[in-house]
Amino acid sequence: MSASSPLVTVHQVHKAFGDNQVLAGLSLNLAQHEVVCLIGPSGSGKSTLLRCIDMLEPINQGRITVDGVDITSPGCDENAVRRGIGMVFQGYNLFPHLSVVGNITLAPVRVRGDNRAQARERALELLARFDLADKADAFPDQLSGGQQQRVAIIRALAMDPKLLLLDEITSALDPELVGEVLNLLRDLANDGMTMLVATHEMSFAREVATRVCFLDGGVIVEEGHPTRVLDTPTAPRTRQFLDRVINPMGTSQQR
Amino acid sequence: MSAGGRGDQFGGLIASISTLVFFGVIAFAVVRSPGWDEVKQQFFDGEQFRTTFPAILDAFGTTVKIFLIAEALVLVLGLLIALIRMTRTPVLFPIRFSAIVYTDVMRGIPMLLLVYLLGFGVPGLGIDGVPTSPIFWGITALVLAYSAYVAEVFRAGIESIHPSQESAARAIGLTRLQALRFVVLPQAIRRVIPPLLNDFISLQKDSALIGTLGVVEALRQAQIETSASFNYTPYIVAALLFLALTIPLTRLTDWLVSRERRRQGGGRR
Repeated sequence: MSASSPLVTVHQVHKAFGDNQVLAGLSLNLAQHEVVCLIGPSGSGKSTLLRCIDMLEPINQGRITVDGVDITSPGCDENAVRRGIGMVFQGYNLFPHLSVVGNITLAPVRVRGDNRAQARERALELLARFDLADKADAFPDQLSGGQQQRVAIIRALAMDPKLLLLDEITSALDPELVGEVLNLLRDLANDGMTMLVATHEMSFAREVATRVCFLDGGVIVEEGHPTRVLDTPTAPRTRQFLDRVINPMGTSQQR
Repeated sequence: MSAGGRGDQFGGLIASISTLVFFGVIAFAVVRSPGWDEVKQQFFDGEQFRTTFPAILDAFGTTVKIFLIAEALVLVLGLLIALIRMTRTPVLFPIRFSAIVYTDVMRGIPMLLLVYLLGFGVPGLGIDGVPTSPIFWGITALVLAYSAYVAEVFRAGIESIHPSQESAARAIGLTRLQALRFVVLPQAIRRVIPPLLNDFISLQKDSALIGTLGVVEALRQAQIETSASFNYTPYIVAALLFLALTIPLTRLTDWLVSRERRRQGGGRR
């Protein structure tokens, strides 16, 4: 891999669920160390795009490469692709029957074949780094939503992914717990982690993202530097969306 | 109970008195019935009880052996059938279809008929190399029928685990099989232990049907004793032995069910 070629390329991807066309020829490139925020109304295809890149959904048409591997070619080893990608979900999806350390070490031990003691040590290091050392042997239902989501991120990090896909990971959280999760993401961004983030947190997009993409109707309508897209959107649909997000009750003057 | 004030104590007192009166009246009615002396001699003969107990207990050992073997096999076969029914690959449709037919047929045949069919029918074919032992075919009949029930229990358990769990497992790199083995099944099995034990309770009782093939298990032994003495007390001995095993298992099942309910009610999500 040369340093200049993108880590992820998405080319003219179409994806439909039945009659519902969710991705309609979407294209996107992601370079290493980039943090790209996907914003847009629900149903615009943000989550589907992430799930397609992680091969959790097959695409109907188009091409996606990750780290130079064409993941849409028929012979592609999906398990190998996923090993290099971490994905975190809106609903945390921790495994309720395993402790925090059990959640984090499952893939390193079972997939990568790490020694159990070493994997545990590594998990404890990660937990300590993100202020969760005292929760190592707790079970998911004993944690707050914010703590569960941070554990889910650490679980993804334990496989040393080249790319993190984050699917509206703060949407299910109580407002006062959103900060701790976003702070963790900012730390990761500062460390140079490549991230593709579907989010409704405009302040996070503004502060951390290197690029913001506005999705609507299964395509990228507008993209660019966060302040440019968020402050002076050019496409009417972007403007409409941002108006509604910033002023949900529509009480102020239009534009 | 712990917060027991006077109201609770009063309630407990009423419950005790009511229970005493209820069973007192029934006992009185039975004991005063015109045929009681006859029935008492026929079914509750202390002397008969003592003399036949050792032999029936001994035969009950065979009963226990039958259902322990059957239960172990049922767990394996039931899970296998459940997994086959849940495959989605089109190529595997024939196997999947067979599994569906299997569960439908095996759950539809009366247990006793299946025991007869296998126990008398298969050895009757006289094929070389096919076992003729009645206990072998008796256990086979139990395993075939109960695997069908248990497969459905497993399937319900697996389907009750939200697909997002599998997504999460696949996302961190586990293969489909690993996701099933380490994430879905451990949760599913924990959830189906109560209904599983329920099926085992009825399997334990149905193991008595193997006696009809001539295998001397508890019920068959009781029958032998009865025909020797023309006294039915041995049946009571067998019944008590079955109860001694099934009641604790029933209580355990109820306890697990209520614990699971408490957990789901009390936990987040």
